[in-house]
Order: sequence, then C-alpha cells, then structure tokens
Amino acid sequence: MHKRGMNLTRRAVLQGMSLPALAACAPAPAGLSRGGVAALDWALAETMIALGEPPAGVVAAADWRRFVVEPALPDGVTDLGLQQELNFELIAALRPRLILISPFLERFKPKLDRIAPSVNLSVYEHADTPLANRIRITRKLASHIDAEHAADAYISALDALRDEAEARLSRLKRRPVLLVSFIDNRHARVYGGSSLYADTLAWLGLQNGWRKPVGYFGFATVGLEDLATAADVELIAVEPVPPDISRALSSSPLWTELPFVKAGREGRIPPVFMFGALPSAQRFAKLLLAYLETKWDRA
Amino acid sequence: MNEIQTGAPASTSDTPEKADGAAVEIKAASVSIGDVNLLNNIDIRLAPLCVTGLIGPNGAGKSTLAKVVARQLSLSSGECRLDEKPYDAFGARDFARRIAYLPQSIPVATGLTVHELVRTGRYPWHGALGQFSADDRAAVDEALAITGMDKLADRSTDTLSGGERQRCWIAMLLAQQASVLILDEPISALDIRFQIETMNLVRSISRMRAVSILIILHDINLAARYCDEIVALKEGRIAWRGPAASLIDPAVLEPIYDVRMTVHTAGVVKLAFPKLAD
Amino acid sequence: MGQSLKRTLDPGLLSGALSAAAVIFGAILLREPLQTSLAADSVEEQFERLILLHATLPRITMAILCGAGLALSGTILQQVLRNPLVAPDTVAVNAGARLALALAAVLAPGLLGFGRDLVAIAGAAVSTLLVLAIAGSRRYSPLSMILAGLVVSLYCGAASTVLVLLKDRYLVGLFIWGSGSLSQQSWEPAIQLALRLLACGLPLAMLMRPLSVMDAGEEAARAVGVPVERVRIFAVGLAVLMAAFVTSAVGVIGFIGLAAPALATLCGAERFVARCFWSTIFGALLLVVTDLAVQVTGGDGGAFIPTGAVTAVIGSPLLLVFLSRLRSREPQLLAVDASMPVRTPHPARNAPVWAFLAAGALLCLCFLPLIGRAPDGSWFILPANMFGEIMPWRLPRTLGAAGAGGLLAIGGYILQRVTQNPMASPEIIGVSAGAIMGAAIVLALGGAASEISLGLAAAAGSFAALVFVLNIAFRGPAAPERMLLAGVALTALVDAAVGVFSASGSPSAVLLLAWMAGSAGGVDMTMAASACAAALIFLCVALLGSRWLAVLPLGTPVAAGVGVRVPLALSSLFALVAVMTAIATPVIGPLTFVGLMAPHMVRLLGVRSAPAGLVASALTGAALMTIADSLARTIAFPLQLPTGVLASLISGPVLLLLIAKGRKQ
Repeated sequence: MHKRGMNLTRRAVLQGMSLPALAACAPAPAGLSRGGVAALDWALAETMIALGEPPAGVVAAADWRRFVVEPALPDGVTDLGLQQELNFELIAALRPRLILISPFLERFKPKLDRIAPSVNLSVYEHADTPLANRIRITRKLASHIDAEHAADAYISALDALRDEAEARLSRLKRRPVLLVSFIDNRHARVYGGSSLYADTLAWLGLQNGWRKPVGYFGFATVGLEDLATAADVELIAVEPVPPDISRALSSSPLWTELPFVKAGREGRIPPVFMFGALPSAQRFAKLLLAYLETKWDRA
Repeated sequence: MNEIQTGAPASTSDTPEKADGAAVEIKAASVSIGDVNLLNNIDIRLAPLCVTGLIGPNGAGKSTLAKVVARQLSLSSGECRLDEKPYDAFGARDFARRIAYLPQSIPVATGLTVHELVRTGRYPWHGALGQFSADDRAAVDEALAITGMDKLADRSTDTLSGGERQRCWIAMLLAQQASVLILDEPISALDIRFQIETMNLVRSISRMRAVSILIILHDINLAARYCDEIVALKEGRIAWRGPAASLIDPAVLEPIYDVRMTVHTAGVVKLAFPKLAD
Repeated sequence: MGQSLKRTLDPGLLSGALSAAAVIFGAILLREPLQTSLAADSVEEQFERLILLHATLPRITMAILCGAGLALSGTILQQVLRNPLVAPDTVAVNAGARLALALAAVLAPGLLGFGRDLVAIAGAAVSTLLVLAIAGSRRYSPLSMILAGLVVSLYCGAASTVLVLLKDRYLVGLFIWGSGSLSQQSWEPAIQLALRLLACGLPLAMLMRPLSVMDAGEEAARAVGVPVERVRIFAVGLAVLMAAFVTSAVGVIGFIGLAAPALATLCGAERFVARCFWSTIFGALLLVVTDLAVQVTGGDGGAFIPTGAVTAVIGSPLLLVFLSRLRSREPQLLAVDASMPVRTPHPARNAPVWAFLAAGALLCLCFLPLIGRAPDGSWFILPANMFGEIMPWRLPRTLGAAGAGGLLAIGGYILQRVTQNPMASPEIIGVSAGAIMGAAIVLALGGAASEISLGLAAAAGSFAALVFVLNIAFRGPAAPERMLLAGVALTALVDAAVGVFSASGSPSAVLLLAWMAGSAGGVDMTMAASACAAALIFLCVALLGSRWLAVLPLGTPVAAGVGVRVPLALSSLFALVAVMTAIATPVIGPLTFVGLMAPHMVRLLGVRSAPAGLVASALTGAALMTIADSLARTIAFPLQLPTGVLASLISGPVLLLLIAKGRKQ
C-alpha cells in the first residue's frame, strides 16, 4: 500500500509539474456555465429541461439515457457524480447560483448551502395526489428559476394532452390496467396508489387492475402468482425486464393459464423514470396511449 | 480406602525454615465443579528451600491443586494462606511478586524473543506506567544467566528446542523473583537429558534463592531423586506424603498407582518399576 | 467433565410438534382455496385453483426441499470440518453466490438468462474456497472458520454494495434474492431442484460410511484406512453444491443449515447417520413452518417479507445458544489455539521500519490531499492559492478518514493481540452491526433528517451492541472468543434485517446502503477534527494498557500468574475498542477492514513490542485510509466512490496476500 501511494504521488508530481498552466486554472476551466443550477435529483432536473431551463449539472448523468430517456439531457450538462456520494468539489467548482435537492439529500443541506442556496423540493408529499403534488412542485421550481410562464405553458399542454388522450381512449373498449415491473424471474412490483404510474393511469381516466394495498412509495412487491387477480385486465410491464423472465413465464402453467395471458393481453412499454416528475408522467401517458391504441379494439 | 498413609513424619518439621521466605499453607481445601469433587480436604504446606514433588495418577487432581496454590482457581471450601495472611489480602501484582506459576500448557510460539518473554516476568514489579528500572534489568539478566539462556537472549522463542523453551519459561518465572514457584509438569515433553538439566536447575534455584517449589512430576524416580518432599494425590485426596527418600517402596507406590511395583538398587540409587506380568 | 450434551429433546416429539404447527398453518392457508377450487365455477375460483396447484403446493414442496437440502449440507459440513458452527451461511456460500449474481446482472446480464445456477454456483465455490484457504492456515479451528467466513461475507457484501450504489436500478432483484423468497409459479423449479439434490445425494450416500468413521476423529479415521483428505474434499464439494443449488433456486435462506443440525444434536442424535436423518427432517419442517407462518401472517399488502430473512433473524442468535450448549462437547471451540498464534517475523532492523512508516504516513497525510481532478477530468496538484477554495471540501473527508482509520487500526491491533486471532477486527465484534442497526432504524422511521441524527443513532446502536456483546463475553470463560462469536451472531442478525429493509425497495434503503458504504461526503470539519483528536487521545489511553497487551497473548494462566487482573484488563481493552469503533463508524462507515489490515502490515514490518505496535498501527491505519480516500475521490471521476467500502475492496486482496505471506514465514 505504501508503495502504491508513493507511485501515485510520483506520477501526480510529474503531471503537476508538466502542466503548471492547467494546474493554475484547473478548477474553473472555460466552457462551464457560471451561475447555473445544480439539480441533484433527476425529477427536478427533468422538470427544468422541460421548462426550457436545463440545469448546469445533474447527478448520475451517465445513467440518464437508460432510465429517464425523455426529456433528453442536453449536451454540456456536467455530470456531478453519484447522488449518494456527492462530489462537493465539483459542485463547488460549478459555482451554481442555486442547488436543487430532494429530501433524501437533506442531510447534506448544511454543506451545500455553503456553495449556494439549496432548495429541498419533494415529489413525495402525501397531502396531494402524486400528479397534483408534481404540478405544485413544478410551479415552485419555476418560481426559483424565473420560469413561471414556461411552467404555465407546460401544465396547460399537459391538460391538452389529457383531453386528447381521453378522446382517443373513449373510442376504445377499456379494461383495467395492471402496471408491473418484473424484478426477477419470480417477482414483480405492481403499482398502485401514490405511484407516478398509477396516478397517471387514473389521470387518463383508466382503471387500475391492482386493488390491494401498496407501500409508501406506491408499489407492492409480490410473487408473480399474486398477479392472478382478475380475468379482464391488461397487463403492462415497464422495461427494463430481466433477461430470463420470458422463459420463466412461458414455463409456468399458472401464468400461461391466466385468462389475460391466454388472450394475449400483456405487453411491455419502454422505461419511464418511476420517481420522476411531470415530464416522466407525460412520457408515461404518451407511451401508454400509443400502446393501448395498438392493443385495444375499437368500441 | 484412601486413608492418608503417613509413611514419615510431617514434612514441615524436618525442613529448616528461613525467615525471609514466604510460606504457603493450604488447609482443608476442597474444589468441586457441579457434582464432581476435584479436590477433597487437602492440607499442604510449602516451605522455603524445599522442593515439593506432587505425584499421582492421571485425574488425581494434581493440576487442580497447583492452580489452587497459584490462586488461578478458587476453593469451594477451605483456606489458603500466604505468610500467615489469607490469599484475599493480596492484590494481583502483590500476589504475583510472591508466587509464580508455570501452567501445564504454555504457548508453543509467542512471537517474542527470549529476552522479551523473560521481561514479562517483571510485570508485577513495574511502576504504574511500566518503566523498566535498573532492578528489573538486573533481575532479567540474572534469570537468563541462571538458566543459561543468556546466549540465546535475542533468539525467537518460536525457534527454540523443547528444552530451551522450557528453560526460557523458567527464566521468566525467575525474573518474577517470587519466593514460591509452582511448576505444572515442566519436564513431561522433554528428553532425558533436558529432564535432568531442568530438574537440576529447579533444585539449585530452590537452594540459591531460598524459594519453595511445588512441582508436578510423572516420573516417580526423578521425583524421588530431585525433590525433598513428596505429596501423592489420588482421586482428589492426599494418598501419601513423606520425604522423597522413602517414596521408592512398593508398599508406598502400589496403593497410589494400583500397579504392582518392583524396586531395583543401583549403587545408592533405588529405582522403582512396574512389575511385568509373568 | 467432557460429557456430551444431555439429551434434552426427543427427536420424534420435536418433529411431531413441528409437523403439527405445519398442519395448523397449512390448514389456515389452504382451507379456503381447497373449498373453492373443488367447486371452481367462476373465474375467481379458477384463479384460486390455479394458484393452489401451481403456486401454493409447489411452494410448500420447495420449502421442504430447500430446508432438507440446506440442513443436510450443514450437517455434512459440520461433520467433515469437525466444527459445530459451520453452515452454508457461515462459510460464505451465500455471500459469494450473491456477489456473482450481482456482477453478472451488471456486467453480463445475458449470463443470467443462460443460467442463474451456474453463476451462483461459481460464486459460491470461489468464496467457500477462500474461506477454507484462510481457515486452513489455522487448521479449520471453529472460530477461525467462522471469522474467515464472516470476513469473506463482509467483503462480498462490500463489493455488492459498490455495485448497488453505482448501478442500483439494475439490481432491485438482488435484494429479494438475497433475502430468500420461496414464491413459486410452477412445479418446474421444484422438480429441477429435487433432481439436482438427488444427484448430489447419491454420491453422498457412498460417503456416509467413511464420514461416520470421522465421528471418532480425523486421526482415528485415517488409522482405519479412510482416505480422509479425499473424503473431505468430495464431501465439502457436494455439500457446497447442494447449498448453492438451493440458493440459486430461491435465494438466501438464512441459518437453516445451522439450526437443523443443532436441533438434531440437541435431540441426542450422536451418530452421524442419525444426525443426517433428523437434521434433514428438522430442516424441512422448520422451513415449511416458517414459510407457512410468513404467508399466514404476512397476508397481502405493501410489506413484502422474504422467508429467508425471517429464518436468518430467528436463526442467527443460535450462534449464541451454541456458546453455552456446546461448550462441553467441543472443548476446542473456545480454547485459545496456542499452537498457531499470530506470527511476527523477526527482522532486527527496527529503525528503518520506523523511518519508513513515519515517512510514509506523513507523505500520505500531507501530499495525497493535494492531488485531485479538475472538472474536465485532468489530474492536478492543488496550488497554494486555491487552498481556500478546495480544501474546505477535501480536508474534512481526508482528516476524518485518517482519524477514523487510526482509531480502527488501534482497535484492530488490540483485538488481534488479545485474541491471538489474525481475523479479529473491530468490524466483526458487533459494534459496527449495532451502528448499522441504529442508522437503519432512523432511516426506516423517517428518512435522514440530518448528519447528526444519523451519527447519534449509530453511536447509540454501537453502545447497545457493546453492552450486549460484553455481557455475553463475560458470562463464561474464554471471553475473547465468546466476544468474537457474539459479534458474528449480531452481524448476521443485522445483515438479515438490512436485507429485509433493502428488499422493500424503499429509496431510504439506498440511503442506508450509501451510509454503510462509508460515504465521506457528510463529514464536516468538526467531525473530522474530533475523529483525529479521538485517535490521538485513545492512542495514549491504549499505550497505558500496552503492558497488558504484552502479557495477555501468553494466555490467561500466565497473565494471571504475573499479576494481571485478566477480566479487568480484557473488559477495559474491549470497551476501549468498542468506544473507538463507535467514534469511527459514523465518520467512515461500518466496513473498512482497515482495523484488520493495518495490524497485519505492522506485524509484517517486524514491529513487535506492544507500544510500538499501537503507534505503528495508528500511523498505518491513518495512512491507509488517506490513500483510500484519495483514490475514492479521483479514480472514477466525476463519480466519487464511498471511502469506507473502497478501503475494504482494496484491503481484501491485500489481506489475503498478507495472510499467505505470514503463513509462509
């Protein structure tokens, strides 16, 4: 270990000596926006992007494309590292004017406040329904970044989306929808209550096929056998799904005998960020709508 | 059936007592664990300048008695006194300055050098912060010299031969400068030469330092030759006690070990052997 | 003395009672479905029948198979290794399988589709071999085996934690698997498992006779012509394979493999064949009863309670029961293994060692904090004019890590010295487990309000654990060993609890994992300075006790013989270690291995005397953690890794090397 330490040191020394100019100006190189917003929570970051005011930095930017997908992360947004292991040096070097955090980062607030004022916005407040809460958070966030008009526009566009969706759905023969994500080859999460998925479903005027209780964050972890709840449902699995799920399901008589499986009323939609805000809800609604239009017969 | 056979007058009377040496007195000592009586009503007395050999068959309670004398085990009933005072009157280090104990199983490897191991014997003499004084240094050097370990002082104890290791531990006991030494089978793992060497060492220590020594032995012939007094235990009781010279006698040995014995005489030395079946 | 256990239970009676419990729970669970599925007209009733036929009944079958398989595996392992504490859990079968599955999920998800079995078995084999290799150097002595198992488990856990933090969204399933759910949707997995267990059982049947002879001990078996080594390798291999099959089928079912053989022994099954028979029966019944109880009481709702975690919570305290029950049967269990102590080589050149250590530590502490990465990713050395800007962020974490590293290293040195066991470290005496429990409770109750509340909860947990562990330790002889074992039991218990919390899928669970990973982000200057000050103060305190440390390794009789009041000395030293651990844990997390590694390095450097060892350990620990912290800041930039877990990831392989090297000498 000592040796390793020494080697590292030596290399760093050499590097440091060969690049004195860089060293002098390193922590604030050109190209970094000053006075931007550091969004340390994806839900808040996606809201900012949707409002046309993308943040200067966001945590875990590398995974964004896989789990949030939409809205796309604009180029030039700095990756601030892991959400649970904040890179304070980097956040400080960004010199943000505002830092957005979720309650899960509350314990770092005193430290963050020394960099810039930080605002704690929770998409999980149970006083409201999830969507109503997210609308409130969107407006609140907009007030912090002077984007109230954009927020108004975004929210009315969302209302328009719902009107359109209701019109399109009303032409179809509807069924209750069972929203799940497969965890492994024997278990799934099924969404209800306060989850973003279930609330968006309700917002579209659709019925949730899951009536049993769910946990605080709006889902229940169940064995796949518990999905056999009602005959006339449409099962929709949100990606990603584990690679061996299809084989496990097709070899299970319990699964293949289920009426909705027999009738082919099951399928998948692309990933949507489960703990997201309005943009995720919007993405979910659009994906759901598109999917159901291909699946359901006209009334 | 196991009545005490007094083959000789009580040991204490014919050994000269020295005023400065400590004397240990165990009275009516009994130790029982659960329903098992390990020791039953034992009386013994250890006096300065006297090597007391403790013999007896396996399970007789020899090690238990040694532990009792060394205060490693507390009595179920009875009394232990050191210099006329009950054991409880001594603090741990106070006690260790008077009685030193070498357990039967000692660590084979300690990771210490001989010198370092012997130094640990000075533990009870250090000041509160453990400064090593000139007295301590002298005691360690003397212990090393007496045991002949001074040439090996910087060797690791892990690399010593069995005999050297045994001597090293005895050196540690000597450095402790106690006036009573309790040795639990110090020679059982040694070859004949080291057995003789160790026993000679034990005897000379008792004479030079005027200490009293309690030593557990298996070899009755060695015990008879090197000890002054013998105490024989059987089933937790004292089966016989007397001067070492009178031990080698079938009449004494047979009831202790329940084995038929025969005695051969080689010059002035008498040796006892089990009788072969014919 | 030396008598074997008294026959306290009747095996027939016990299995009867368990069966009765199973029937009662089964009746509650099955009454309704059975009634409705007989008629089965409506769609709902058809569902009931489907669930009964293809979920409930296979699940019961699966519980029987898994329980029997794990119990038999545990019995055989115990017989072969002559060790009543060995079980699939304690030799890290599960931890290895879990890590392998996590790695596969992140690196090669296709592999999982191909076969979870193979991945899990490969992982289990590697971790078991590691444990055997480490414990083999101590002749598989029971305590060494358990400690080696725990260390390997903790290491696998650390690696899994890093994966989860980096890729948590991929690994939700891992938590459920790790807590062992018996949920079934078809007969196929049960049939598959039955075939596999059978395939293991046939060769095992042939090993029965040679294994029975080992009742009389290894030497005796060898004397009557049993090829002990070969039998041992085959039997361990088959036992591990059985456990790995079960684990890959349903996930980690905790402590059945320990509890069932224990019950068989308590029932007086002295002979090996009888032990195998009863243990298999008990294992099957125990798991069925537990699983039925979980289903009956759990009902439906958001709370998902995996059966494997329940058995672990019930089963891990069994280790404690063993302390008192099996003492007479296994005297070597608690005996200090004096023949194989922690060895120290003997270079007679102490001055260069000190110069090297001091210079190294100083260099690490002064220079490493200057190295960093710029926002564009390039390396740079902090120029003096930027200290004001960067150091407020960097200094607290570095100082905190160094201070905590020093504290843990001192603690580790004391523990290894007193217990003469090279696997003893503050991580595994249960104090860290207590800290985790405290933090978990705070997070589960309402999220982390502040760094202070987390720290306080962790400290409270540590002290509760300390009181518990010391209480157990001093209730009988051989306090150091009892303490280590109590720590192992507590760690297993907390691990199970954390597993349940994680399986719930709550984002707070990720917070807990982040905290457990030793996130240095929350450390502020006050905390860091206190850790450093504590390290200095407690180093001085420990130095006052260094005379004890010189004498205690020679064993209780010798130590008492030279006038050490052994219980007082031990409890003071243990309390000191626990306090130091409790201070270090909120700063650097519960798992670093620095307390394990620093003393090893110090010994290999040839530092022998206790005071020098304490100072050298403190320096080494501080230096190691500074290095770990610098690496954590920079290697994955812009990501920062958790310092504590990074330290343990680096330490693991190094530790193995050190142990191997120490053995050669």
